[in-house]
Amino acid sequence: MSDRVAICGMGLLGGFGAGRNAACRALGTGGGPNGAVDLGNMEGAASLPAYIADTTLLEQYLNKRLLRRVNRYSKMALLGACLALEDAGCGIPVASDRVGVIIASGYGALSTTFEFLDSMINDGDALASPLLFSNSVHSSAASHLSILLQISGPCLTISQFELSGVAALMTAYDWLADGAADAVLVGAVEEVNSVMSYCYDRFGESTATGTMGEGACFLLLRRETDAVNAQACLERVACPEGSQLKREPGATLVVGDDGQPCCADYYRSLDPGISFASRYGSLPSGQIFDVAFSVLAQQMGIISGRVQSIKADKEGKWGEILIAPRTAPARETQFMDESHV
Amino acid sequence: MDVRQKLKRIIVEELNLEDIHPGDIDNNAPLFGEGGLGLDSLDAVELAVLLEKHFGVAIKDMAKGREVFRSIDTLANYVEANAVA
Repeated sequence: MSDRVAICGMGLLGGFGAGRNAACRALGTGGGPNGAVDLGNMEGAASLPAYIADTTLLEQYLNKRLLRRVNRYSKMALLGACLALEDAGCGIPVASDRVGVIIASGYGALSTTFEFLDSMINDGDALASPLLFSNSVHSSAASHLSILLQISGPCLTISQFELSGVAALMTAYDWLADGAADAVLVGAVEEVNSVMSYCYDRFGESTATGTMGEGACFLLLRRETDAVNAQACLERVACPEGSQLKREPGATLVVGDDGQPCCADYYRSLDPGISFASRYGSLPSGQIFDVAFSVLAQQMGIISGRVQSIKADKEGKWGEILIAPRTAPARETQFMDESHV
Repeated sequence: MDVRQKLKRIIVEELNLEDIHPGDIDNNAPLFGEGGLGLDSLDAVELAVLLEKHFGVAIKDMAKGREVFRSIDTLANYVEANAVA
């Protein structure tokens, strides 16, 4: 295959709103937290600012009855995926076994995880809620996507904290290269809750410049040679060895500096770069948001030429994504395996 | 609260049947499958836990559970016959 992967659709939601237009507005205004999350401790009232996503729009894509067992974390994933499919001009549901799903998440379904733990503490392990358990596992969102959007290709969830996004994109690269799928929906999903708010306060995360964020960002990827509606191309996706970043000549540096103190030193060691974190908040899997915002910035003329996106973790490892703007005009959407074309 | 009313409220609230009002559930309507509430096997597992949690009633025999879970009436009869006083 070509060594480039095409981005054919993008769907994102977060504190900035939902969809392409909301994200473009945030690019223009600079963004900022749109809500707060209670600390949930004994003292009660205190809260911290946060970027809060709204999933109301999802009911435009999927019947409400189908969503009764879908928690908020998975609703964010479903809405991000639906927006990406719509952005690519694809039908919903997808109904294809040639499309794959990869979800990247550092924290998983936080609210449901702690609700499940509470049910064990309050009622004993024999009476812990099966429904809460099934929605608490990290792979629950990918499962809901696969079932409700009728995507029966390979399905995976990756949790590698700050490197979750780049790891998901590397895997999608492999699937497309190997022919395991003809298209891959890759998405970052994160959720905030009162436990995270408490931890930010209790363990000093709030002393950093970062602000808790939640939301989802999905990219619909295809082999460049197959894509007729590419919005941009990923030229390189990697986790390079060593700590020395090789700057890509002429490319704009986008750093995933979302205020986490553990990674701040690394970002400070780099050339000054752009950070989009003020639009979406602090997210472990935020590098996929950086890819989407970079493409939007390219399309809006805010960035010219290629983007080199960098996201570091606290162990000094980092992920690198090189994003090239679309060079050919968009053509009519064509998608799915041969039987659907 | 009457056992039937309590069962309906628990089913609607805990199984997230947002578009159904407890008062609209017929005592004899099937809880599972088409033509009733449309609950499925995952709901059944949750319902078994909810019966034990709210009424102290366990269903150990799965074959018996099939009949007990047929409707609100069959559930209520089982609860009333087996609840710890």
